[in-house]
Amino acid sequence: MKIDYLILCTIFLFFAACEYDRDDVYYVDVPKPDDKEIILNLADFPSGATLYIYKKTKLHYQLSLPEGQVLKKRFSLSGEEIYPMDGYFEFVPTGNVRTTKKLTVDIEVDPHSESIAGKLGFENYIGKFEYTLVFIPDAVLHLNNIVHHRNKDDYFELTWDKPELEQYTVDKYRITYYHNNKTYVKEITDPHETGFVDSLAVFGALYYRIETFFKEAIREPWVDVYTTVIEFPKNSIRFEYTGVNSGKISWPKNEYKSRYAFATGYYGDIVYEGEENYFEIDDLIEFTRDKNNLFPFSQGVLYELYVVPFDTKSISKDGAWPIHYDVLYSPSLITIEDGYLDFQICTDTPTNRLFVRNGYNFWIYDKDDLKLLDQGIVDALSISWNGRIFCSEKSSLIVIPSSGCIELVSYDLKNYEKLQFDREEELTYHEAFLGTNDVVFIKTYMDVVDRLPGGIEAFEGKLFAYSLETRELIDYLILPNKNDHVAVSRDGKYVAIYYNSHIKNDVSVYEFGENGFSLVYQEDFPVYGQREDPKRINFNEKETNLMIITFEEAGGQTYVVNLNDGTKSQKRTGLYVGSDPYTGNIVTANGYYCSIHDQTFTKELFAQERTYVNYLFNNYFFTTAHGGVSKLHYLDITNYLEK
Amino acid sequence: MRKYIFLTIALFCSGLLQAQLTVGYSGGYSSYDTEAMRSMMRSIQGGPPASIIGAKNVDNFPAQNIIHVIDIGYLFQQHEFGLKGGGYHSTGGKLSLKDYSGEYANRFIVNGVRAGVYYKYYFFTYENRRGRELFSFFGEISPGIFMTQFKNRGFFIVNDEELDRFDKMFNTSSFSLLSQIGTKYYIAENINIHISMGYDLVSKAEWEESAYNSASINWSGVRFTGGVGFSF
Repeated sequence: MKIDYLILCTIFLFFAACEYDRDDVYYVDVPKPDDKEIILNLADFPSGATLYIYKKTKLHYQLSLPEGQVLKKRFSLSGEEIYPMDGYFEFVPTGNVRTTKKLTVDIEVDPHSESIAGKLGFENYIGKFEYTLVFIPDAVLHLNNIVHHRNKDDYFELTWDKPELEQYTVDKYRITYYHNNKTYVKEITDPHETGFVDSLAVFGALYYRIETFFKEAIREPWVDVYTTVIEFPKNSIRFEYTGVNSGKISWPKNEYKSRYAFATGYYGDIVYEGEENYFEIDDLIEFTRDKNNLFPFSQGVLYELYVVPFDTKSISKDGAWPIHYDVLYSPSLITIEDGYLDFQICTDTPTNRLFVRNGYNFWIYDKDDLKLLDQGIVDALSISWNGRIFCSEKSSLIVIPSSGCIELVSYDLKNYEKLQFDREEELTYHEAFLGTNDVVFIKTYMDVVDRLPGGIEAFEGKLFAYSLETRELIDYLILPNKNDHVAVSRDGKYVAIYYNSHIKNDVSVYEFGENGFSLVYQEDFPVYGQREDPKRINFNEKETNLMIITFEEAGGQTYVVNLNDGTKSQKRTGLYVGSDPYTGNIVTANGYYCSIHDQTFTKELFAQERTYVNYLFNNYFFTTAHGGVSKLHYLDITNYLEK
Repeated sequence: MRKYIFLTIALFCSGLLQAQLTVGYSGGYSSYDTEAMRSMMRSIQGGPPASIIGAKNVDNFPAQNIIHVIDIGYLFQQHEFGLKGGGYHSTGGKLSLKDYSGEYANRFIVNGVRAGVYYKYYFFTYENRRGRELFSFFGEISPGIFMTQFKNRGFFIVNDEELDRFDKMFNTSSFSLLSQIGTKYYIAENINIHISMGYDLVSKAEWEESAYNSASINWSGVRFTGGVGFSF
């Protein structure tokens, strides 16, 4: 059998050599497509880049495709197909943890190549782009730590921290701010420069809008607003005397390098412009002449302090610079937190001392220069509102009329005593008066002593004169009228008893001497119908023979009677406020219009509107003020008095 | 050893029987059916990747009608029997496309060769006056097998990358029965020329495991041959 096969194979191989051998090739000459590529510009990030998404972010893309049929255009995020908007993706970080996803863009374009490879798609333009997206929720997309401070040159400097978030590459900062009704724009192109000096920022409300631009096109600029207010503390403008007719107005130096302008009143005239935080007034009289509301300071006068950039050439009140408004008071002799408004002053003329009391507190000053000589607290005092206190120049005691007693405090503020006189009658201690002769004048309460025909009640009271030294009664006066008023001169020499009534309207002046009371003067006042004509009677604090009579109706009218010769001064409009124990000058007030006349009330020495005065000692105005703190302002008016 | 004994006995018998050994060569025309292969080519051409790239059918199984046949047998009186070899056929088809980017070549070659035995019966012989045979008419029947070889060669290269390669070969055989009649003219006592015509009935040769399900060929067809023979 093998032989057969061998033969057959031999034959077969023979013919196999003649096997069909045609092998044609069909060659087609087709052009090769152009060598182009698909280009995807995803927000200028190269393929393979990592993009950080901190907030809702638009990723714009531009797809550049070669000519042909788009076979595939697929966008997927971690395998899940997504559909972009018209030319952009919009991604939003969700949740509260950092997540990473893969953004894939698959593009395939058929260039319609007629070649074998082309028909099989091997010559298709294929683009595959991959990006890593890192989603970071809850990122703070603002500048951190924006603060201001004073730099080494004393200018305002605003600083912030450089953004450190991934792919937030600072391109520039743009700061917009406003001063004096103008808008300023500053651009910082150095991303490492995270500060800005605003030499114009010196005072007032400051507003800065900081825009941070980033190099990454996908990043929207950050907008941060920083505001702050630079201002002086209230009541920070100070006045001090530098001489009898000179002074100095000063204010705290501004935190930032500035120029200042000081103006009187509301948008008043600028009286000082310069770099210093003070200016001196060489001639107070001249300086204050014709300047409204400048004098006196005691009542508090509005001033404006312009605080402007240091390089400002000139300051005009027409500008829009921020202004510190302040009220300038006279220098405050005493300032007490939570104190009483009830300042009381008495003086010991032989020793030239002023004694000031407020509640439990006492201050002792030299009457000439107001130098503080002593200060103390007397806790044993009872606090009662009363009219005045007295100095016992003989006993060196401060005498304080009080409720149910007279309180005595030694000049050295170390001894305290309650004084009550041994009387059956009830005494009006709170109305007690001490003369410099050390006599205490004190009234009883008025009692009904008889009933006259017609049902009219008859009253009787007494005015006792006690020796402070011996506490013994020296003399007394009968006070027959229910509404008798008593006035005692400072030296205790004169006592005026007067009565306000449409029935009887007069004053009786008694001189108190070694023999007790003796009538020295009497005057009947005219009665106008049924109308009462209230009046007050005082004695000049220096010249006690000068009696000052004030009719209080219709703004008041005042005149002076000389008890020595019975002469009277001209009546002048105004209410009696007080008189100076050292000069005898008389202060009257008509509303807030203050006048000073000589002791005879014949010559006006001083007049000023908007002035309220409580006391006048040795040509010092004293005015009390309050408002959270109690103050006793003072002002030396010596140089303002007409000679 | 038994084969040699058998051959010795056969030669001895042929000598005793005064048998003649004959050898003949015939060439001629043969027809066969390649439609199935063409259909297969169309099918391939109509499917990917040929359809995608537009491969062209550059050779579609033309029938090669020339055949060669060799007979070796014994002639004893009016009977002749022996071995019949030949009937070799070879055809092919090809899908081709080539351009700058690559080449697709999918080529099929089908070879068929017939081997069998034959029996001839000389039913009329004309002798000349000297008693030498001049013409003989015979009928022949030849059972055999058709050994068919399918070859699939080719490649698919795109952008210098070989995407596919065709390198398959399959051999199969099918039964064949050739029936024909013919005549011989004796040029000399031992040399003749002869012609014959008949039909070869062949069962279809099929490449069953082909990737293409219609790979088959039908070798059946008319046979018309003529040739020369020798007798010893």
